[in-house]
Amino acid sequence: MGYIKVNREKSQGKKVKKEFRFKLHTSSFTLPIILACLFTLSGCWDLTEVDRRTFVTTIGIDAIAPGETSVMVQIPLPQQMLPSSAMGRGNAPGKQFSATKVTARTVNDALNILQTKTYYELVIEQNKSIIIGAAAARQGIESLLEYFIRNPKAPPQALIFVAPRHTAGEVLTFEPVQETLPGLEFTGAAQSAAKYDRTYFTSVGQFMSRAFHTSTDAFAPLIDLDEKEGMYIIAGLAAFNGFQLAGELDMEETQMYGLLSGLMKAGNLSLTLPDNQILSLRNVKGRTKIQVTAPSVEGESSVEGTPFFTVKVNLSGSLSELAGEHKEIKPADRRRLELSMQKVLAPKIGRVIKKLQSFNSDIINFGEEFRIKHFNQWKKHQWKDIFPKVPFKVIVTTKIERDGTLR
Amino acid sequence: MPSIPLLAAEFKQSIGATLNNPIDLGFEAPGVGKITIAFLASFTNKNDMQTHFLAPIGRLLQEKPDCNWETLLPVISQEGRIERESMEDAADDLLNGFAVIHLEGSARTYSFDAHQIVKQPPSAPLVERTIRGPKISLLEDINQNILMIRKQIRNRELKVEGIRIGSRSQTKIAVLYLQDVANPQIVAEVHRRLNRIEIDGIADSGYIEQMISDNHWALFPLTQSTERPDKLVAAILEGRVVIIVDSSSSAIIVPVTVNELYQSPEDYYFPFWFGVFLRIFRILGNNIAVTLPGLYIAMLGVNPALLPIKFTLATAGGRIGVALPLVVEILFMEFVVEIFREGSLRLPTPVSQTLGVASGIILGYAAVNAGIVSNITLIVSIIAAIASYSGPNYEIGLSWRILRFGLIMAGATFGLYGLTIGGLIILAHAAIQNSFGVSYLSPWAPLLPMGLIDTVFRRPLWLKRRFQIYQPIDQNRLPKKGGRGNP
Amino acid sequence: MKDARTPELLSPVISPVNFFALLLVILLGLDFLDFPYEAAKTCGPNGYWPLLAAFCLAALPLILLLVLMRRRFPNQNLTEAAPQVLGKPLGLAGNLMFLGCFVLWLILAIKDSSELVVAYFLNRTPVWAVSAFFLIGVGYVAVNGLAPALRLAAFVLIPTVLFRFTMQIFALQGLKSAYLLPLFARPPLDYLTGGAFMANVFLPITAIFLILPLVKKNPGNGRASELAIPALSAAFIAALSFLLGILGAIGSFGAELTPRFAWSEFATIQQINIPFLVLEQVGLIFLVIWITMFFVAVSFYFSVVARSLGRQFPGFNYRWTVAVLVLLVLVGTLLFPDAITAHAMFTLFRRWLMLPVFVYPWIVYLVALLRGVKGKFEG
Repeated sequence: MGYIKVNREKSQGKKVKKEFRFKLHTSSFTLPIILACLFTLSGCWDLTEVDRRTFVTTIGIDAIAPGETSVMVQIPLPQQMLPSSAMGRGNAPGKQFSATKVTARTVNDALNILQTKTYYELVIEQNKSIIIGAAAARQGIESLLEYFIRNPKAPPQALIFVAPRHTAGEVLTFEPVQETLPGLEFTGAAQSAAKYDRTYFTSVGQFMSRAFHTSTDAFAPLIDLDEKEGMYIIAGLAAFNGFQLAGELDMEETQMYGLLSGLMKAGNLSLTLPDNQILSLRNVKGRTKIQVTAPSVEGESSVEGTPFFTVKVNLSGSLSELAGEHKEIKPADRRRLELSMQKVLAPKIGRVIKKLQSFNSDIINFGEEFRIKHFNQWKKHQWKDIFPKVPFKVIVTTKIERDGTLR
Repeated sequence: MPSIPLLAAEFKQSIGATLNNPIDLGFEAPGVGKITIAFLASFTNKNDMQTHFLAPIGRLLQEKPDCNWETLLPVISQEGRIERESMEDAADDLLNGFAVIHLEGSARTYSFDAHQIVKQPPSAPLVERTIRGPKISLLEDINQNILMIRKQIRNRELKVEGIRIGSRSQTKIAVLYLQDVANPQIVAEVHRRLNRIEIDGIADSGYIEQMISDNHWALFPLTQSTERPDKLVAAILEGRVVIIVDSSSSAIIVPVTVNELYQSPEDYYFPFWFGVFLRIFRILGNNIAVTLPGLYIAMLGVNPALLPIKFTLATAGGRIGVALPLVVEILFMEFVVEIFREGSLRLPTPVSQTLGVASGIILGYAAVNAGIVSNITLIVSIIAAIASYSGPNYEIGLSWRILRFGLIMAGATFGLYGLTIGGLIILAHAAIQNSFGVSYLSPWAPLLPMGLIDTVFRRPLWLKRRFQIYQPIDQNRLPKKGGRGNP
Repeated sequence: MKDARTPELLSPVISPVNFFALLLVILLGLDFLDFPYEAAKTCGPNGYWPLLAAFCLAALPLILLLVLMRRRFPNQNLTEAAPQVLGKPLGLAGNLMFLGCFVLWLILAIKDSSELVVAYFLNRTPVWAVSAFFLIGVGYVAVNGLAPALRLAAFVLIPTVLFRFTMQIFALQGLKSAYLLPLFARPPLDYLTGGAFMANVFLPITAIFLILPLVKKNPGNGRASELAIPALSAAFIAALSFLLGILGAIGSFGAELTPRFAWSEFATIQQINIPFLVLEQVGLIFLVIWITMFFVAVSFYFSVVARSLGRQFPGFNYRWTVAVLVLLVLVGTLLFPDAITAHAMFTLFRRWLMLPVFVYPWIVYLVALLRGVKGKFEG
């Protein structure tokens, strides 16, 4: 039919020149060469199989003597982690971790020595939490944390805890009833942190950024053991002065701190009102405004020269319990309850601020406010010197937003 | 409208010119050149032509050599007979499968239905199966394949050109494209490359594909082969060029982009969101197929900081007792899967089911229990193997299967970093390819913002523009009013 | 030019959209993740003002010069125009200085990035292996001409830019706005100093001078807006990303801690904690995205530098120039004994030695203006 037979003689002459336009020739060999290189280059410097690594999930740090640090690591046992039905190789649930301890001068040293105790490569890339004994925390943890910030393998998300009444070693060897792998469960607790109002979590990175900043101080949650019932208690705050542990806040004080710092997002609050009524709120939210009045006379570094702080705490929440009130709550009653709450709360909050001042631990951002609002004044002062002495006033406003199912 | 010429020779020339001289245009001239019957060979059956037209007309001519329409018409059936007075109408009839009878000295023609009954029923596509859409695949006969396309594009602008390639085989090759849409430079390039081929014989279109490829060393297919006529039709409408090879049940479409290889005709048959959904998972599946084994080894062997700790520990637990190192283990599984794949192709159908179950389930279970592979490795390689079939194009799946090994090595040596650079080298390999002057990564690179509509998303059918990817000379999908449009 | 083989791949036409893609990818790819260092060091909590200063000092004049150069030399790039303007020997010397700065920059950049990779991905892998592997890939792209780098840039643009911005926005989760206040804590001169030190983040724009004649919509249609709008929008989007980087770094670490990090922008990303994400850390994924952009940007630099260098000396083959350049850079990266020297040198180099790269195009243009030299038109 219409099929043309190609006339080859004609096209042959021009062919060689034109062909190059669409061809890539030699370069096309490069890819196979690269692939071949990959096979021969396989030094596999960093290849260590996952079952030949020992994962550290929690690190505990204690101070024994000046210059002597005891480091303990918690290591999960992978063979215990399998679901029990996995091809018959899993075991019945039992202890899922081992904890081992060495004493050395620095964290790095300690981890190095720990390496000799474990068969496989010790990796801290999956480290979840760092528990610091109270003694170590009081000595200062700057050099300890330096390691966790400088080492690119250490995750900055790891949580910091302070153990006030036990050594970190005791916390790590403790076998709780509930959790099988405590290091991981701490992270779980922090992830549901919105529900907490008895303590506030902090990661290595957050801790560093607060502690390093001149006008702020860092805090960390406290971890305690309930040995009778076999449980951890994570409650209260450790307030730091720089990198040194300065003091502790108990549960109730921590709640007040939550209101002060605005960290309390959906807390619970129970108060005994002056007329012995007990009032509880849920979904409590604190919003605080700190106002600074700068010293009126410039250059004077006497008491008049220090700034004055007005702390306006705004609290709102839903009524969850009101014992002793048997009648319908009317708007006037609400107003009365709110007022008596304010009367109770203001001194409580004031006491917490006083306590923090005595620790010289500015975790409530007084310094930040002063620095931002009166930068020139701030430059003239050493904040750490004047913080314990600054005068302040607490004003609390409260609002009961809902009253639940009862009128 | 041009009228019908009186002379037979002029009529032949004129009808040829109107239809752009297609190769399947045929003429019969009973009665010493007085009567001319024009027909398209791809539509018409020679036997029918002989018995229904040539024989009776011949007999008539013996009786009355000096015939006119009045004597001629009664010989032929009245059913479906149409009188035509313009060349355009007559040509359109041809495209509809009619035969046109012309009588020298008359300015009229008559069209008769001479539609051919398909000889060999087309079978359902074997490789490119879809849920929706026509269930026919190309046949080994070039004329029938042209017919399948003609039946769907009854347009005069459809140019059908033919050449013969192969010094001994003289295989028929047809080049189909829309004359007013396809870029003439691309068409010229196709012809240049086809004419350049020097070979003794062509066994399949695969020969042609490799001979006209831009880069013989490319790991990616730089031409698209398909067994689906609807794909060919869509490609022609987009302004691409289709090459059909006689005795081959797959046709070649050029130019092609990597984006095109992830599109199934089905995307356009389903409503918009289903099409988008299908396409996203197809692309995702292919990405998994390439990267998963490499990622697995990089994440578990070199950079264990990323995976959830519980998963990492469970994997570590699962590997206790496995003798092979991770790299060897995954390579071993990949080899086994490749061998299974090749082996199952050759397995006779009656035993393939049984053996498939035996090898897949029992062997997998036994291998894990025997401590040869860990169960997660097994999962990873099986997922990767199945995912490599999620794309509609078989050839590019093959490419990925090869490249997967490169990524495993890169991941083992340099971890996530190696995987990144390895992936970029593969991407660069795709970036240096051109398919008939069209960038292989188009419309992503060079970026054609309008063309991106038809990538992860699907082109909505109401969009009346052709995209610039294949550089069509007519960007409007609908022909202009009054022009040489639909018949 | 000896390589007439692949003219389309070596001198492709760059449409405005692709020009935008290219510029954005090289701007974001060559930011080295440590510029909050300069910001926090010079301006403390106000690190965002020097960025604005840098945008006005570097980005805007460079884009203006792009438009002016294109108007004066529509068919020549900077290195072709310079000998015509300054005289042959002076032009050649200037060109070599200009291109030499780029080569030195590439050496330091690849050394720095390899150190980053070694720190976060591969502890025990030797740096030469990391650099060599990277350069093999870059060489493979560059040896095939300019088009592959451009295509890669366009291909990676959308996912990488989207991902980068998402991550940077997530990195703001630890932001304490107090760390960024008060708004004007420093004397105004500090902002200008900071701006001058940070100007290098917009430096990649200077590479466009080497491919200026290729940027066009259609041949012969050379309006200023075709060049200026994509360039401005790319510079603006990049500046937005840099701003997020500075806000994230200073806002979550404070001005005192930020300069202590070697790659402070990345350290911010490393902090991200998304509890419900499957991955424990997203920082490394960000690094993957950054390496992708860096790879494309470096490939482009290799390609344009080799292309211009090849044209300085008749008889230079493009492919061989690329190969020699790759070896040169590899040897250059190996010459640094340690990361500390490399990092310090890199910071210093970016602060000061980049001045010639900014000034040279302006000198060429101003001398051309004074002497009335104009480029040849079509043909």
